[in-house]
Amino acid sequence: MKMVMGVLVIIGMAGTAAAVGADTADGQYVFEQKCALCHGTVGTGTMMLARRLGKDHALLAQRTDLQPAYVEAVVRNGIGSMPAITRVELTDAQLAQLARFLARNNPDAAK
Amino acid sequence: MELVLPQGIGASAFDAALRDFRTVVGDQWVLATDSDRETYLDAYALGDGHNHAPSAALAPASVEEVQALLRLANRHKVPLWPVGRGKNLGYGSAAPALPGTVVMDMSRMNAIAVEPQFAHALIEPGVGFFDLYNHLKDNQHPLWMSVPGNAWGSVIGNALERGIGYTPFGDHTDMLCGLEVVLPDGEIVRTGMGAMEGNKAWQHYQHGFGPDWAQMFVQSNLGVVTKAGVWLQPEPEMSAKVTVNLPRFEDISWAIDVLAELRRRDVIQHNVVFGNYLHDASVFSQRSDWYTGPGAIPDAVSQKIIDHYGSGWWSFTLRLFGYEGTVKSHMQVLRDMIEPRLGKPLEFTEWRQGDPIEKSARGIPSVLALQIVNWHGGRGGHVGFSPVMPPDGKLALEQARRMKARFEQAGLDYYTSFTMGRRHISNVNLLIYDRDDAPMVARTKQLFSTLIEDSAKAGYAEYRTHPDFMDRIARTYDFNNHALGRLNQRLKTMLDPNGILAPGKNGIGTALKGAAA
Repeated sequence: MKMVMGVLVIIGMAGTAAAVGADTADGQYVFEQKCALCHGTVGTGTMMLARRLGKDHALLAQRTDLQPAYVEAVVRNGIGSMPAITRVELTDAQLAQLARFLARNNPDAAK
Repeated sequence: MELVLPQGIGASAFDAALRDFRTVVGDQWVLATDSDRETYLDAYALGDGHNHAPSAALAPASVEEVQALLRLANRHKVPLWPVGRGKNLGYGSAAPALPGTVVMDMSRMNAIAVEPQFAHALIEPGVGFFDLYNHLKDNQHPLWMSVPGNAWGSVIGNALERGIGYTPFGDHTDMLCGLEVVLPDGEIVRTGMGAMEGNKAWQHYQHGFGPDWAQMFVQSNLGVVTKAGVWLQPEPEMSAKVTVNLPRFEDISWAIDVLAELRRRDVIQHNVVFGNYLHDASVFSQRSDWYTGPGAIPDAVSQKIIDHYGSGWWSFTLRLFGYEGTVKSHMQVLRDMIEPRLGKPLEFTEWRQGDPIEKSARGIPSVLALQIVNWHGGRGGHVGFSPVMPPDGKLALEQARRMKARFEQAGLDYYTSFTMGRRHISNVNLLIYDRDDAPMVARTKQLFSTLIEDSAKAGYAEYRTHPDFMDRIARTYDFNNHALGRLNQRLKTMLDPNGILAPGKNGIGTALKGAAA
């Protein structure tokens, strides 16, 4: 059996909720443009997170435990096999939008 | 992260250079915080990567800004290291060869202009494979593109590093037609027909009149490419693909001979990854799932992995494209050439226009292959050791035996592909490691050195390498007292007398220091 790799890892198939609030819509767009290639439904980031934290915590866009500051730290420093992301690839403003989006389901997230 | 300044530049001179750079690109696009420097380190470095630490990064948005930055770099004697999108993972990522060099990140230059009638695009270096794929899809252009294993990076950057894909358009350097280049002194030149003002055939004919200098800007530090024409593949009437799994290590011998003949006769029109079982295993599992003992994975464990995935010791995928009659006839040729040796029928997946894309043999961008660096867990990385050799089965078997033994001596798992080019094999060996395991990193470095020596003795040299090894690989090209290296150096001195463009790239500007020349 040779695995068919990557067919579904196209931008837009991000495993995100169908609709988000207006305050996080920009962040969802950033996620789909910049992050989904690894953190989409069949992405390499999703696979790595499934190994590290379990399948229930593998899809970033569905997490309920993320804090904005944590998202920002991971993006700029990298973690495990995820490289750090530069301020050219993801500006500070985009990162702030992204962090708000990924923390939207966390009732304890600092707003 | 401690700031490492460019060689010979003091702190105040460096600050003055940054101030001038800001006048060109604006404050936002001169990135010089500790965090910025860290984001441009090599993500897969053998160790902490500080031996290639950049001092800052600049992000121009236009060719005029690139020109201005190069002129300022000359004035301040501050070296720049251009990168397309900085995703040259396994070959240094965005990090410069010499510490203190300023990265010039071209990501903001990302224009795409497609000519669907002629199946080409004129693009800028910030255009990634996903960008071009989505552009073609969103605009419903019936054009296919070739993508490399890791498609996160820049289309132009990959082509300029002689990256490859796996369709008939997979020799990415050869698919470039017409470059726009800023020379180290800031002057713009266009190669091929673009050397004529207003020429209508820039993306139609590669060579122009007189010497074609396009290759001078490939794997070099003699100019910054700011635009390139890229040939694309018209959507074919039909495609077919088939994956072949070979159970025995020794099968490489007959299989390489068959594939080489099929490539010479143009039945197979694409680069073929002829990879060992770890290609699948390292994506879909981790080493600890199989083995936690000392040393490289023993053969008995390898066999368990092979049996689990049904991958064979080796596997490869062949793809056919074209009109249905051509594809069908070539499918029969493949059956005639391979099935008698394989002992079972080939099971093709056929695609015709309108079928789901996953059935097709087209290139679809993915980064799933990056999963392999998680083989050991922890902060993973890999470096590629890729000597070029003739496409001969006996030589390939000897090489595989030799390399496997070296990996096992180093206690590292043997990950390899004998990637079949048109008339050669790139024997791509990936040394996969946990960056935070210092003894493993040390063994990896030692293995890499051993492989350089082994390959040189066997008469093979690498086509591409990581900045840690650029000088050493350049020195292995030693015909007539390193005549090629001396030619490169003469050109470098002529075009870039201040040495401000990517010093040390592929050993140019550094490899011959202290050597025979």
